[in-house]
Parts: sequence; structure tokens; C-alpha cells
Amino acid sequence: MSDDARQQLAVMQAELVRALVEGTDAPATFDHERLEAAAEALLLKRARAIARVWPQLVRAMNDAFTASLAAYARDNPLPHDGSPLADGRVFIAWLARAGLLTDEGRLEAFAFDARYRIRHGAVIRRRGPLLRVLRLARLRRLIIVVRLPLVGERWLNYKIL
Amino acid sequence: MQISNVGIGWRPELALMIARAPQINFIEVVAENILPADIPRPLLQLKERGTTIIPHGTGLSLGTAAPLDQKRLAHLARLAEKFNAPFVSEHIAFVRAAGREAGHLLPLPRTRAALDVLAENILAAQAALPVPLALENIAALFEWPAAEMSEVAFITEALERSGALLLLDVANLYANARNHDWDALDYLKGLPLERLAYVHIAGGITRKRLYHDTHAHRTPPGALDLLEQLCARAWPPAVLLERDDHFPAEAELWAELDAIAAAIERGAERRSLQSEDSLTQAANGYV
Repeated sequence: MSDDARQQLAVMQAELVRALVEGTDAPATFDHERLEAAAEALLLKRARAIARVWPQLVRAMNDAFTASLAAYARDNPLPHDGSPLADGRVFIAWLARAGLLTDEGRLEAFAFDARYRIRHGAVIRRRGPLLRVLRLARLRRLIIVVRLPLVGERWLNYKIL
Repeated sequence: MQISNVGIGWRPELALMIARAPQINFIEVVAENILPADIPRPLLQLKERGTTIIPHGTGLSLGTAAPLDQKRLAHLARLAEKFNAPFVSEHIAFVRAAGREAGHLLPLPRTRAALDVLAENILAAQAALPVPLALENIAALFEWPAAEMSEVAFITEALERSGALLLLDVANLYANARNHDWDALDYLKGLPLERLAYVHIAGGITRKRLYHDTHAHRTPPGALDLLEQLCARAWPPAVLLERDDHFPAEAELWAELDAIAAAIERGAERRSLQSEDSLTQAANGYV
């Protein structure tokens, strides 16, 4: 096939994906009502995927979750491996910047960060020794995680005033 | 009568149910969720048990107008080897363009240009895979404007040009027939059923007059009817239920699997009656 036809198809596909996930203008010839329904379904799928791997975060947010995720999703494309773990972790950072992160979300992110980090949109296992402390003011807990060679991983959880 | 395998898509949430059910001997794993170097133990046990395990890809994006991602392709190939799979499957769709992920399967424009891209990518994928590739029709909430052919014609030509097998999703066909006013029976008649590797079925719901193939709700009677219609025309080696979310009680899933087996049987009975009819007609000199 000609490079022109391929190029043209590539441009149209890119335009369509951006319209669906970022809300940019879709090519005029599409049925816009249907595209809206498809965009909504994509967002719902993304939300369900995050809710399944970040259950504490999502439960504690209640009804605020859907609206916040929609706002986040407009400016934050899916990570390249499409992983809801990575997507949810970036969402948590977004919530923290917006002052919307709950203690439950903070704790779940803490547990994730003790074991993984995200590089270029992919989840990577963290190795090596580690000591981290998290103070949760509303839940009034102090959480400590330690990882040492031979000893392994230890979690400590204290009530604070 | 040949007996079709009735299977279910393996998900971590279903691992226990499948482990406890030796009659399930055909499953699928979502390729993107399994690392070849770190295969979940329940899957290794199923392989030991002799269960057929099909790696099912969702991220190759065979319809994107760009060369295939070689890493994803190698991943699928390794899984096929790890599981000793008779074939692997993917979709006639695209999921990304210009580096942007859509997060779900999107339909292709049914044009000659898109067909050329698709056929080239399928051939490239086949060259890198150690086993045959089966391709699935998707459910879509919208269509591209200015289609140059029907979806059946599009799929049939893609399969014929590449020699790929068919993974027919009757729930996706049901969804598209409802949402785009297609004639599902015409669609079945037009398909190259001699290429049928296996069949998908799943549930969904209607929201705002559109049918959503969610894999999170009960299988609708209409999809089971289509399965019966299919089995009246051809014998599917296996039929697999896809359930991805809102997992119900085990008993409910067993009821769904039973309903699937019953639909296959009804279809098979109709097929054997039809072939008896044509034999009688032949004997009477009608054919």
C-alpha cells in the first residue's frame, strides 16, 4: 500500500484516540454521540481497573473518585504499559498535589512505594535495603517499614495522639 | 456428535473455582497480565493437569498504521511456548496511535487502506509467533464513517490474505448487531467458519439505549441464541466465557457455563437434523 494512505490512516487514528481520551475535537464525520458514549466507557474501564488494584484509595474517596479521575484523565494519558498500578500511583500524586489525597490513599501509596517504583510508565520492583516512615494525622497511625538483607521486610504500626 | 469444550477465561479471582473444576480443560490467559518468567502457580498446576491454555493478547494493536511493537510480540511468543499453546489469539482492532494508549480495543475503518495495514501486521505477527494466530471480532460503540465494505467482508479478507484462524466472539457480534443494526445471521453466514478456532461469549448491559459488552454482567439470551445459531452451522472446538469484573457467586458462573453447553447442544442437534434432511433429500434425488 502507498505510504500516503498509511500516513493518512495513522493521522486519523491518532486524532480519534486523542478525541476519545483527551476530549479534543473528533473528526466531524463521526457520530459524536456515539464517540461520547465510547469515551465514557473508556473512562469507566480505566476507573474500574484502578479501583481493583487501589481499593483503599477508591473506597475512602467515595463519590469524589469518579469526578477526580475524570479531571486527572484529561491531562494524564494512560501509562505506556497500560498498567492500572502505575496509572493509580500517578493519580495519587495528582490527588496529593491537588490536596485531595486521603490517609487511606496515602497508606496504600506508601505500601506500593516500599516495593515498587514507576519508570517510563512501567512498574518496577524495588530492591535493596529500605527504611520509611509515614505519619497519618487523621487515622492517627505511625507506619514504619524496614527492609534489610537477611532480615527481610518488617512493618510496624503505632497509634499516635 | 463431537463435544465442544466449554471453558472460561482465567483470572486471579477465578483461580480457585477453576482449580476445583477438572471438567474445565480449556482456558485463556490475558497475555498482558502474565510474565513468562513469573507464571502464577495455579496456572502451572493447570498446565500440569493437561488444561489447554491459550494466551490471549489485547495490546498488539494489529490495526495501528505503524510497525508492531516487537517486545509485545516476543512476549506473546514466549507465553505460547511456556504454555505449550496450540495457538494464540488477538483482536482485529487498534488500541494505540501516535504513542497514545486508548485503554481498550477500538474499531478499524473498513477501508482498503486499513485492510492493507492490518494484513501486513498480521503477517508480521505470524512470522514472529511459534504457533498459529486466531483473530477476534470486537464490539464497538461506534463505527468509522465511509465504510467501503461490511465487517464480515473485512474480516474474511484479512483472514484469507494471512491464513489466520478465526476467534468468533458471539457476544461482540450480538453487541454490534444491536448497536449498529446489523443482521447477525447474515454475518454468521458470511464468515469463513472453516477457520473457526474457538468462540468467545460474555455478558453486558444496556445503558442509554446502547448495549455495552462489559464482561461484568450476565450473558444475555440473545448472545446464547447466536451461539446456538452458530453451532447449527458449524462445530466450534471450544467455547469460552469471559468474565472480568463484578465476579458473582460460583454457582452463578456454573449456571452460565451450563447455559452455554445447552446452547451448543441445541445448535448441534439442529445441525444433525439438517444434515439428515439433506441426506434424505439426496437419496430421493432432490439434490
